[in-house]
Amino acid sequence: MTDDIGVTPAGLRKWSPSALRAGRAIGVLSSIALTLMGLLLLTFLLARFLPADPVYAIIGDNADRDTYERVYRELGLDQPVYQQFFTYALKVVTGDLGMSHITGMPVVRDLLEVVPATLELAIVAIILGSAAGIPLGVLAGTNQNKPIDHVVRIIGLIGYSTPAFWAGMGILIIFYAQLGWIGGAGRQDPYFFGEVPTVTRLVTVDALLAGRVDIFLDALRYLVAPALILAYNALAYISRMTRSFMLEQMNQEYVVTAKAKGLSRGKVIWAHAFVNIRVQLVTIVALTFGAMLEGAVLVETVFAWPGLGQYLTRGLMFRDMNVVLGSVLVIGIFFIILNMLADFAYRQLDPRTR
Amino acid sequence: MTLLDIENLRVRYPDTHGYYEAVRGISFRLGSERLGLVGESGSGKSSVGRAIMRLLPDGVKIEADRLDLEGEDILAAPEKRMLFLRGKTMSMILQDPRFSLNPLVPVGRQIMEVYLEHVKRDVTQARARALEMLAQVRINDPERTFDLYPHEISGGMGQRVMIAMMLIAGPRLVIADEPTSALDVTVRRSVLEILDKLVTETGAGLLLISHDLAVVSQFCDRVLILYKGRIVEEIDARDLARARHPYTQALLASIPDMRHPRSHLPMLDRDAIACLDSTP
Amino acid sequence: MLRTLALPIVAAAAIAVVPVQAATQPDALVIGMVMDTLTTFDPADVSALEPSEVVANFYDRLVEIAPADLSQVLPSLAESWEYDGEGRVLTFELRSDATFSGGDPVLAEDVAWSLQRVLKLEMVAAGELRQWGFTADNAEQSFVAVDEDTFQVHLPEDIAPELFLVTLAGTVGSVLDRDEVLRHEQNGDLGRNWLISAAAGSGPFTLTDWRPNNILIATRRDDYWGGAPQIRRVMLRHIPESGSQRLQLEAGDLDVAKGLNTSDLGALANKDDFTIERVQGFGFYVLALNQEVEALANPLVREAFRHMLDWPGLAGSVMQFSGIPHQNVVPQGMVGASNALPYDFDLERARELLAEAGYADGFSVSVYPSSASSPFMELAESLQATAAQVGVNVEIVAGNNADRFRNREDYQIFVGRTTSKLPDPLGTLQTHASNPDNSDESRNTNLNAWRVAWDTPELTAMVDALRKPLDPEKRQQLIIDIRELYDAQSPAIIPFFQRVDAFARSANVEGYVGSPIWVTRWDTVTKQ
Repeated sequence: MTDDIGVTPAGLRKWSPSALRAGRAIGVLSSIALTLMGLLLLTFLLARFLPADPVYAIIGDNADRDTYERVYRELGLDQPVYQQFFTYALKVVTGDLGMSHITGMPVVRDLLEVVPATLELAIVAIILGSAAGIPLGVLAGTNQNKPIDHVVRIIGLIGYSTPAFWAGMGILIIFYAQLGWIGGAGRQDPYFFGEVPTVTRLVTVDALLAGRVDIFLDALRYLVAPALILAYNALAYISRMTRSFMLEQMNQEYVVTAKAKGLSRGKVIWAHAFVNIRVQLVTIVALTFGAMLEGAVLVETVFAWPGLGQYLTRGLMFRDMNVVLGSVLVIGIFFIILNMLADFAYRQLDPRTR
Repeated sequence: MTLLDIENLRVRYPDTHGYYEAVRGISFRLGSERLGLVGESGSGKSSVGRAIMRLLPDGVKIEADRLDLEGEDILAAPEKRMLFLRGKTMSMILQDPRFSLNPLVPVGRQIMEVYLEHVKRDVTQARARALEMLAQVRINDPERTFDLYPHEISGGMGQRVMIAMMLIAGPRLVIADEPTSALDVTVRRSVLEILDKLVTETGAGLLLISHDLAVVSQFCDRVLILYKGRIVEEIDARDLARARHPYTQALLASIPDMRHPRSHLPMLDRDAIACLDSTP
Repeated sequence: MLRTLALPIVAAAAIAVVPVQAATQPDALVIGMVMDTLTTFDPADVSALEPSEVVANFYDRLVEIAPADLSQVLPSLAESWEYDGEGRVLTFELRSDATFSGGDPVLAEDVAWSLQRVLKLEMVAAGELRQWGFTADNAEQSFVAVDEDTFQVHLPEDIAPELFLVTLAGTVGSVLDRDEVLRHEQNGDLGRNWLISAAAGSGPFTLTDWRPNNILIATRRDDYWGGAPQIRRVMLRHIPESGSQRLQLEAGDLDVAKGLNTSDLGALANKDDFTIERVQGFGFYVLALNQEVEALANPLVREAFRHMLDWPGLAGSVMQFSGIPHQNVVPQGMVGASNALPYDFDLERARELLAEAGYADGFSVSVYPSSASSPFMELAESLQATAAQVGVNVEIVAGNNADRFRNREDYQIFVGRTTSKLPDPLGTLQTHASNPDNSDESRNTNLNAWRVAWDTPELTAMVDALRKPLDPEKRQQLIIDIRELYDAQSPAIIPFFQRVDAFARSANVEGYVGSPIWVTRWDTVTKQ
């Protein structure tokens, strides 16, 4: 709607808009591909310095020398590093991430299991964390140094300083062992395993698609505790950042204007100040979500949640290069997607960036 | 008729030693007239404006023997009443439209908001009225400007939008706090003229707060000279040349005069005025 | 505000109201474990404890050994066998009622092919056969199907046939359904790729679902030749955190917990509803003294270390569920074993020995615990504290040091756990006392004596002789002689504890018997 005001560099005028768009798309795609390859190369090189010997991780402690050497060659470790990387990169382009020796499965297949598990957790957690963290942050930021501000800060501080591990055990002891309200380990009662067809690989969604409310509720019971812990961690960060963003905005002149217009406090906060922190919030929420993909290891461990964080950590521990590289690739792709979504959101939310 | 009646207004800001008194007991009345409040920065002139609107930050103390708007005691009014008075009965134009307009809300909506809040909850009417106001502040293409964001319009346009916004509900008192000092010199005059015209047409009172005695003397009927939180002189704009107070004289002397250019403008001799501090 | 709270409250209420699936089903066995090593179900490629148990239940072997008496070989797929010493031929008669899960009968050619396959694939398990002289080249001559029910093994070397028999009782001896596996062969891989996540055996259970690091579900075979198991479904669950496992066990969601740490085992040991089982393993917690470090190559210094570790204290604390005090290299319960504990924790004696060795003022040495986890770190820290009292300054290098133990230049003293799968003294004697070529080039990294650069020609020859067929009494005497010579030489690999794998089971679970060769079966399990 503001095209007539936008400035078009003269040199670009001879290109048709569709050609321009295609050109831009190619540029974006190639820069994404380059980013991912760079990420892979870096991970590949870093992984070379891991102390564990991947061969022994496969063959165990007592295997003889012949076995060692056969597996060593099979893993391609006898080739120069650049060649190993080249071979790997070529396979990645064809969608083959290799085999994992910590699961014995193709990495792609493993990722199809662990990524949805983590996504299910992270999506619920980020929704809960934002839904609670943002209003709390706004409340604190607009009531600086009043009791509510201190309460929110203490809530956040607890979220920051409580180790996820202990929080998880505590919740399990009370709500699982004592009260029996929630599930103990994993994504659902094993009794229900394989009962509904796999569509999205999100247990809750698949259960609903199949119309099985009992399985859905069961899955919720397993999901609620790990999701709440992650959500609480997210809340701590999001509320703190929201608070400081709001503090900054509430000192702006346009807020005085809004007040001088006789707008109620709610309108001043939500229709004016809050509108101006949305872009920053998108960044914070996207970052928090991204961090959950690989950063939920402790929660995944306590709740035996078969997710990406555990998978990557074990890959590192047993120096399973294919697992590490595949996981990093997926996380990289997610960060790029998050980035693009955030960029898109910026353009929707802030006219100055259009 | 008296719009604003102020007696012994004091504004105190909390600081490390307790309080700092920015406004030290000033009194004046304002009718349907254009009153100028002149002082250098730090004189407390902005605090006066915001004290009347009760828009000073939490913790700032406002005290007065009398602070009446159309006979109503503002200091005693509950916040809910203030929400009604602000924008509707009195409004305030801020200094720099680059900061005082919300950057993420189209200007038309920012204008409509006041109408919807204070006049009528009817978007169609509000829009029509906002477009009318845009035309009245001499914006050429109100329809197009309506949907623009603040960063897409010039400073002069921004300040005219601000005027439209603050006058759309027909306030009785308009406080303009340095309305032109952030603007390009070439548009200052036209913006002030628009403000002056609209205020005069509606019969509202105008409190023009400025550091610029020349501007004030041109657009106001009466001038209050504020120095270190006190009014040191009150004088008709036409009589400024006969000002008696040394501070006023010093201010006058520092106005450049195109007809009689001088190589140096005299500096304010603060020592000479310092002795006045103790006098009420 | 109320509206925003309403949704979560309703959701929480719904979750709380739906009845919890408390306690496992009576015909289901749920086992909690850490699935780190569960990477394949191919008997030719299995080396760790957890996958061995799974393989043991999908497949049968020709023979079994009784957990109570390791020298007693029992029939399984083979009804009987005899050995012809002249021709070095073992002949097995197979039972005729055994079938694979696909329905085909188990034939001698399946047996022969399964063992040949292990050698041809040259994967981890191949070493267990290669130690008796079998190779990929002689595999077809060695394993022969005479007719449908008769299977012959031609031993390539003159070894004691019992050694090979007990080897067959391990997972390496699993019998695969040849036709079924070959149907899934890809590029001549003998079904290797398929068997990573599938099974084709004659065992009492079949694989129903397998998700790595998550869950494995096995279902019983109603037509199992040994009779249908009482347990219909077995579920293995990956629960990495010990505390979570314990909570699940206590809540009745697990029947068996195999990944518990010492403190959780200790807590459960005091409760009537649970039983702690300790399964002996053929391996030891050792101090391995690198002989390329000058001070450690002195036999008197090695002897001093035998008195330096506070093993009585550790036995009551961190080792409570990990090991039992044991000071020689023949595991308890085996022929020629000794339970004597002659090496006291005696710092005065250690000081004397050090002084005699010329280290009256002590020395400094780096100690590498196998990993940063329990009990290795605690063992190293205990050594550090006690060694300091006799002037030996121990610096602990924490980290994942297991791989360093294979490179002599990478460590000085290693605190680790040795293993052997062979249920015969030869197994541990070989890995601790035998070192046919101490040169760096030989890289016999499966022999601990080589790893510590401890040249043991005399012991090596004696251990070698133990492979040969011997009169039982002579054999026992030879084992005792090796054991005593090992001690007399002040070994560079000092055993302090014999490995124990402890797990907890619910008291209502019977018949879940830990196997020292890791072939615990589920078909013997019953639940009340």
